Amino acid sequence: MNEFSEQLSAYLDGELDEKAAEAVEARLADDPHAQAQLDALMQADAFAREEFSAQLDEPVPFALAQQIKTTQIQSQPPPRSRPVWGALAAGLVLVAIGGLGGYAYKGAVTPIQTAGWLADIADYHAVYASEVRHLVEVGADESDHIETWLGNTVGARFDIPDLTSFGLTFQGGRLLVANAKPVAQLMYLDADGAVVALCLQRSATSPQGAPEFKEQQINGFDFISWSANGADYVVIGPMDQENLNAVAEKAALEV
Amino acid sequence: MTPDQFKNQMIGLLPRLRRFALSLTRSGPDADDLLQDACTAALAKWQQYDPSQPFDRWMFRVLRNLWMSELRKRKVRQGEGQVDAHDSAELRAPGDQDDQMTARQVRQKVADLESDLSQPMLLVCAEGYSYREAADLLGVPIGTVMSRIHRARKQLVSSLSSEVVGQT
Repeated sequence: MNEFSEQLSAYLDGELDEKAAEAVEARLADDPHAQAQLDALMQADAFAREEFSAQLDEPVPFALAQQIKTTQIQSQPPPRSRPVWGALAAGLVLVAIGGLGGYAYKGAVTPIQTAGWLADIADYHAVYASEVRHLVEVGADESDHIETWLGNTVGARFDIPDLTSFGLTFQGGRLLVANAKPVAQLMYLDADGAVVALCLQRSATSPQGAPEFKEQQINGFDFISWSANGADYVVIGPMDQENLNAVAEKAALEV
Repeated sequence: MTPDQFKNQMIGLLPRLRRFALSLTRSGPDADDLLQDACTAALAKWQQYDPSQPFDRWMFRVLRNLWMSELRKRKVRQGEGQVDAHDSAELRAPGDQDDQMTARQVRQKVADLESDLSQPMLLVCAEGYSYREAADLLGVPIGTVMSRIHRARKQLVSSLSSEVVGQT
């Protein structure tokens, strides 16, 4: 009898071959007790899935996310037969650039530093705007989970804005790290496949009154940022996205 | 895949990695330590990752291998091995609880499943692994995956009602 219970369990997982599955189905059809057993197993599964799903909502160790982001890893495998002179030449070039003095270099990066977390967001957007398969980590079908999990991890509650009136379909979300803090990134796609993202990060300051929208262009993307309700927000889209201002205003109302 | 893409995928995967680490270690602090070690190890050997394979499966394997090696170390240190799932599971008589437990209590039973039962249950029911894939990752025969998932379900069923249990 216990063997049948094990069969039922495998049947639930779609792991029985056709013949065995048919035998199980035949018995289910005329044995109410077998059906009750199956119902109980399914009920157990429902509780298991509920618990497993709740475990996903626990905040991840943020220090670890930050550590992953800042760890330097090589972008290319070391060439097996790299000539020694090549390495030497590369070294010399680095020395030469270093030797030109820090001022010029510092001058060059200043605009990015003033952008703060937006510069990090721009880097991410450059990566994800070209991703189709891995656009999001958690899909739109799990919107509740996205709101709970990302809200808990970022430390700022939010609702996923509905931007369909701009032709933008919500795809899902993921956790990013910018300016050493967790960021919730919500991804939308328009009909042409252009990616528009709404990112938010907890903020220490929270200005009163209506939000002030600030427009910027970083690395070929348009940014419209604002602060409200203890969080900083930004909507990012391609530079030719015409209605991005209106998108940001709608998002600010709904988020 | 660029290093940044690799790192971003890893960050996005952290909740699911931590959940799997929990099913392996059955302890929050151990799970966090394991997660940390696995991410460090994966970053160090990221070039071994074949982008044509699913990233999550690769990371799960890294995590699982590290945990097995940690268990071996503990065994040497303490002179004891992994606790067998049978030990506590079989001690629980089906009849010794109230007819119905609350949903919260049943969920707690999921969290309390022995590691040997919790791993295949998580992989198959929540992560969508087939028995074959779970068997590969866990290094056990398919039949073992099948019977452990069954045992896990039976333990949970036994907490739902005493009616169905015992008649099987």
